[in-house]
Amino acid sequence: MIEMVLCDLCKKRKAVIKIRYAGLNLCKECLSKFVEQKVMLSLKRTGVLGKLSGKYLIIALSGGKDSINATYIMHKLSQEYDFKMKAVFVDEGIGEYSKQRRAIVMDLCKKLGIEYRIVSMKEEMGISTPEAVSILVKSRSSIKPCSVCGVFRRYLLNKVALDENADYVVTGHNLDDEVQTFIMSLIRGDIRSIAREACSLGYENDVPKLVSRIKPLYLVYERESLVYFITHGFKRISLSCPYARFSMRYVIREMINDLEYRRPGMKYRILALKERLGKGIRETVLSSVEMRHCKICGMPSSRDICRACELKELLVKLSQNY
Amino acid sequence: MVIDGLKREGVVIIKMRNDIKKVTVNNKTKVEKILLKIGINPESVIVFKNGKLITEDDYVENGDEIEILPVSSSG
Repeated sequence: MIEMVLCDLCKKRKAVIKIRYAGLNLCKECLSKFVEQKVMLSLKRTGVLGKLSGKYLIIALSGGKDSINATYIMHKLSQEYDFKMKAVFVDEGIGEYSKQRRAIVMDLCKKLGIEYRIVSMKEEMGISTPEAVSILVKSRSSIKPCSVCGVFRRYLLNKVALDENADYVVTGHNLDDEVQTFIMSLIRGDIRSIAREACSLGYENDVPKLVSRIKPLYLVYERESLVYFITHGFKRISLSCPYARFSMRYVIREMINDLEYRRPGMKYRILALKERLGKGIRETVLSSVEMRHCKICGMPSSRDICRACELKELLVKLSQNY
Repeated sequence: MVIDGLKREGVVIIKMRNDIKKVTVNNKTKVEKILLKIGINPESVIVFKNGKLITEDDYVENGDEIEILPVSSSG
């Protein structure tokens, strides 16, 4: 019989994950504490934790592992820190994939006793993700599906949060997401995005109609999030988003994971660089950007027409031309 | 497997998504070594042995079934 690797912290239970950058093998209980401590650290570091009492939070619940973890952990904190929350599921209309995710969201909310709201992209934006993708493909557009779907989802979350009079929008973005977004901005030379994303960990904005974000999993590696999810008995749907493979993120993810394996802790170092760089350039870059409101929908935008309305118009135009 | 001082090889069954392959390993092989052997970065997956979550520092032996789950569902 081969001996099992035991947890380096409790030295009792069987390890379920190796945290390479910390040189630790952890069991499920110690991993759970580790992840939850990281969440507390993120909330404390931004000062959000002290402000949660009496607040109303909208949580973006997609039915994926990260948003489920974020919902579960924030729900645990909601009693102690005295805040209310409601989950919002944006239904992109991606066939069986969206159906299964919606069922998972409804099931989780019922189990935890959280109120939820389902928002249909088709009803709100006039177009579903598959319809948008079909137009992009037929017109041979270089715009990727995630660029449309992502913009629409962010737009709808903010809209719902305003409608609900919420104080914060909680998202399940993990450390890997943040690092990938930063590298993608670097590759595009998108300095504004780097400045905007700085302190994206609970950055409180003063833009009217833009609800502040909280990212509880900001310091949690995606791999830790997955093991937390599985060891808490949550079920993952077998279907993946059919459009994700078109995203540049896929290539970046592989590259960063390769770097992380060769130099454990690399993701943390990139995240730290992102914060320092963003803070350093923030004022210079953003002082020239005047925030105003979209002439069509009235939502906050740095331009006359917001990206969501611009994409909506573009899709209509493209659909008329082929 | 070491019998009478002779080192024997064993077979480990590896499942990844719908793909099933058999890999010949020296007995008591570290999971990390198997992953690298089949071209998988241990940082981008998690591994189950006979249905239980293990770490890449664990070992496998002849007859074990390991299932590899990518960390990113879309990856």
